[in-house]
Amino acid sequence: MERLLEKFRELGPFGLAGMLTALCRGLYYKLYFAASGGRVRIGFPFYAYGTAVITGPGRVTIGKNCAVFENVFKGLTIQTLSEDAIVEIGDGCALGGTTIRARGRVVFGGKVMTAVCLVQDVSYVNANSADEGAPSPIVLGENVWLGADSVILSGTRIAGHSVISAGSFCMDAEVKEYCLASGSPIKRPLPIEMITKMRARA
Amino acid sequence: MRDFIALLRGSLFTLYCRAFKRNISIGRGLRIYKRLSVTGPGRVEIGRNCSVFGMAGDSSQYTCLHTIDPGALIIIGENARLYAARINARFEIRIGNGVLMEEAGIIDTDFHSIEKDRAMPADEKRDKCAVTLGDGVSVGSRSFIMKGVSIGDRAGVLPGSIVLTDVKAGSKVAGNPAKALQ
Repeated sequence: MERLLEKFRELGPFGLAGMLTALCRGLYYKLYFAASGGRVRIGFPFYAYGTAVITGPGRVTIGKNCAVFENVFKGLTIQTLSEDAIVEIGDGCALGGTTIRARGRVVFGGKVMTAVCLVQDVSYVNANSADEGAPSPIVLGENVWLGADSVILSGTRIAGHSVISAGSFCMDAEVKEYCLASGSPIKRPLPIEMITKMRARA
Repeated sequence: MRDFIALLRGSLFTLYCRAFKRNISIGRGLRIYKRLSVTGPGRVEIGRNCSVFGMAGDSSQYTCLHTIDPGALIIIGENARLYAARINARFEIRIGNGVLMEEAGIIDTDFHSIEKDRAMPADEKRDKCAVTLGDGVSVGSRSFIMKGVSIGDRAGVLPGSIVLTDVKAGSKVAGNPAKALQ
């Protein structure tokens, strides 16, 4: 209780009002998607500081305590392209300006933080689906941070606690735990520990 | 129903262009699902059976064709599908038949300069800056095609790539600057 009061004091009256508005908006989204078919499930404290647009026939699950922020005029956009599409977003994610377009499976772990980025498991959304085979899934581990303007395409697997730097391009890439991946397309993800050591030496 | 409304919008736009905007010529069967904005003094030619869409879930973006010079030329072939594409021509942009463009941009000049006297670069030539896209090219979302690039038939530009050099026919390119994938 004391912690909660402390947090309220930190936020101040305007911050508190903003948070309550976001909470109400999130509740509205939750109820709206629950009423419209139940294909989209959103966990309860869902802070919608920005707009969340979820379209398509597939299944979308968003965990508890997630937040959507308005980042470069864009909130969260999720588009599922087929009935088999599954988008799973873990607990405590901070999604700002993320666009997810899925025909197969897209999984975000808990506490994923994103900037304006594109997560898409098909190369062309509106091309005939027969041209490409079944898309390979995109799996993001826990505590992953996606930089601004990064593009994540099919077959990308990012293990927990990794960072994808701004403007990078991943396709069929594999990033291990605690790594920093950068480049377009990404090359040789380096362990963050090593980078900090190099910094200290220089 | 949506198709019918799109066809109606397309034919209305065609009539409007025939009456008031003589620099725009549009073939039969244009479908406009989301706003199409054609501006500028240059010439714009759109082939038969083209369709213009917006990206689903993104209401802010629409297709823009803009010419910034009276001598500029944009030619779009038949059966092209433009999903919120942005095309900006100072010289010449030719797009083949059956092209798919998603939320991508084409520009054939560097006129977006911070300094005012460099706003229209004087050293740009028409034959060096013209952009050509072949038949059946697909361009992924958030990618960009820069000046002087020609893309071969049935080539693919993956999402998020910046194309600075020519692309061979039938190949796939990705990254910044875009390179061919193995």
